[in-house]
Amino acid sequence: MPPNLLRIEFEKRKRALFEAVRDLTDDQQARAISMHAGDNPELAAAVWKLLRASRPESDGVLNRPLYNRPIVSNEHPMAIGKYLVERHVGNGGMGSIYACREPQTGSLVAVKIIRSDIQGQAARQHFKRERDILMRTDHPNICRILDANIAEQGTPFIVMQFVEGKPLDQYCRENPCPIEKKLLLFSQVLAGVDYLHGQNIVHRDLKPSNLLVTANGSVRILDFGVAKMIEHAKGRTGHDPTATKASFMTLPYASPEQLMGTLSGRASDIYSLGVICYELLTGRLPASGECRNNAQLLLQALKSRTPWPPSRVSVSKGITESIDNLVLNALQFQPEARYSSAALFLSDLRRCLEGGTVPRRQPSAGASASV
Amino acid sequence: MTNENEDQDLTALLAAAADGDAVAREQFIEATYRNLHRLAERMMSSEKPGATIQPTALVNEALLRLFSGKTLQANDRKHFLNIAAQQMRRVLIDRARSHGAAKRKGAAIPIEDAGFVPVERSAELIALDDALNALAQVDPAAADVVERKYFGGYTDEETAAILGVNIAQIRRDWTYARAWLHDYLSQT
Repeated sequence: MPPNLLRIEFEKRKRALFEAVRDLTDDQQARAISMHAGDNPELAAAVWKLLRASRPESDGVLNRPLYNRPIVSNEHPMAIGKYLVERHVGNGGMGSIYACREPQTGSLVAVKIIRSDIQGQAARQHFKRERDILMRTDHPNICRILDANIAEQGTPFIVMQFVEGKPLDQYCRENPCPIEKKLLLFSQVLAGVDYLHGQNIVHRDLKPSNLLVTANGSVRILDFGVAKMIEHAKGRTGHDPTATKASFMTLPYASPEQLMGTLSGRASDIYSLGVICYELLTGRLPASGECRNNAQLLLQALKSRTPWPPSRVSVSKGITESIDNLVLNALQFQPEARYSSAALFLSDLRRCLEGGTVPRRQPSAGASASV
Repeated sequence: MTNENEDQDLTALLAAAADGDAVAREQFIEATYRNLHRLAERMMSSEKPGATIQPTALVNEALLRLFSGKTLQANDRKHFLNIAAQQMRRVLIDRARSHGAAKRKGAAIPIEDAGFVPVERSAELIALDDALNALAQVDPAAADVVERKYFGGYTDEETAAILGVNIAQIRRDWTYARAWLHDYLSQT
C-alpha cells in the first residue's frame, strides 16, 4: 500500500476507535483501547491523545468562536431545518414566512418560523403529536402541512404547500364581487373548516389573512391547528403562561370565550367565521369602533348588544333577511346557540343562495336586541 | 471585466462550477472573494473597532449583490454558500497574515483591520488554517464541517443543509475534527 493510503487507513481506524470509546468511563476506555489496539501501540497512543484533546476543560482555538452570532436576530436565516431559504415572503401574526427549497427535490415550499420557544420533553412531544395529526390532513380548501419541526434554540417551524394567492378580504376588494360571489367564496371556507373539525382539528385563529384565494378562485385555509401545536411553548419575552394564548388570537375575530380565556372549541371557530362573513358582506366588523383593540371592552360590547344585521350597515344591495339571519346565527354570544357545525352553517348558506328562507336562531340569554 | 459583464456571467459560472468545471470554479471563487472582501471592509469601517461581524449578514449580502434579483436553483445556492464559507476563511486568513507582516515591519495596524480579526488571534488563526489543511488530507469531510461552521459562521443546521448530510453527522464530524485539530495544534 502506498504511504498516503496507509496513512488514511490509520486515520480511519483512529477515528472509529475514538468514536467508539469517547462516551465510555475511563476504565472502560482503557479496556476497549487495549482490546482493539493492544497490538498497535501507535494507534492506542493516537487515540489517547485525541481523548485528552476532546476533554471539555481543554482549551483550544475552536472553543472560541470567531463570530458572535446573536441567537435571536433580525436578519433572515439561510436555512431553516433542512430547507434552504429563497426569499422572505411576509410576516404573519406568529412569525416570518419564507419561500424555501426542499433540498432533495428542489420543490418550492413555504416555511413559517413561529415566534415562540419550545423547550422540554413534554412540550416537544406535544408538538410532534399535533404535527403528526396535521400532516395527515388533505382537502381542496386547506393548505397542506408538509412538515414541522423544532429548529436549534427551540424555535418551531412549519413547512406548508406554497400557495400563490391573496387574502380573502383583499381579493374581494380588488375583484368585482357581488354578494353571491362572496357567499360562494365563503362556502369554500366552510367546507374546509368542516373537514378540519371532522379531523378533530380546531383552527383557533380564523381571519381573512389566513384564507388565501388563488388565481383560479379556490380558497385555501392556512395555519390551522398551529395554536394548539405550540400551546405548551413559552412566549419569547415574558413568563406569563397565557402569553401564547393571547398572542395567537386576533382580537376582532376572537370569540367571546377566547376573550374570556376559557377553553375554545369548534363553536369558537364558528363565531370567528361569523365575523369574517359579516366583514366580507358589509366591509365592517360586527363590534363597532373603539372597543376593537381592547379585549375587555370588546367582550363588554359583545355581551351588551347584538350586532346590527348586515343589511342595515352595508351599502351593497342584495343582502336578504335570510343572509342577515345566517350571519347572526354564527355570531351568537353563547357557544351553544350558534351553528353546532360548519356543515349546518354551510347548508343554511346554500339555502340563502337558492333563495330559500333561513330562520333566526333564538338569541342567547343575557344579550338584548339592538333595535 | 466590467461589473455588468460580471453580473451576467455569474449565474452561468456558478452553474458550470457546480458541474465540476474547474476554470469556471476559479473565476467564480475570485468574484466571491472580491465581493466578500469589499463587503467586510465596508461593514468594518462603519463599525467600532473590536465589533464582531455577523457572517450570515455578510454572506447574504454577498449573495444579493452577486445575483441581484436572480432566483438561484437549490443546487447553485448550496454551491454558493459552500464557496462563501471557503472565501470567508481566505479573507480572514489573508487579513491575519497581513497583521503579522505589519507587526514584523513595526507598522501600525489600521483600526478597521483590528476589528475584522482580533490582532491577538492572528497567530492562532494562521496555525488553525495550517492544521485544517492537514486534516483535509486525511479526513476531508470533517475538515469541511470546520470550515463551514468556524470560518463560515454557519449553524449546525445550515452546515447540514449546504453539505447535504444530516445534523447528527455534522455534530460527529465537528466533535472529531475539534479533538483532531486541538491535538495537532498542541504538537506544533
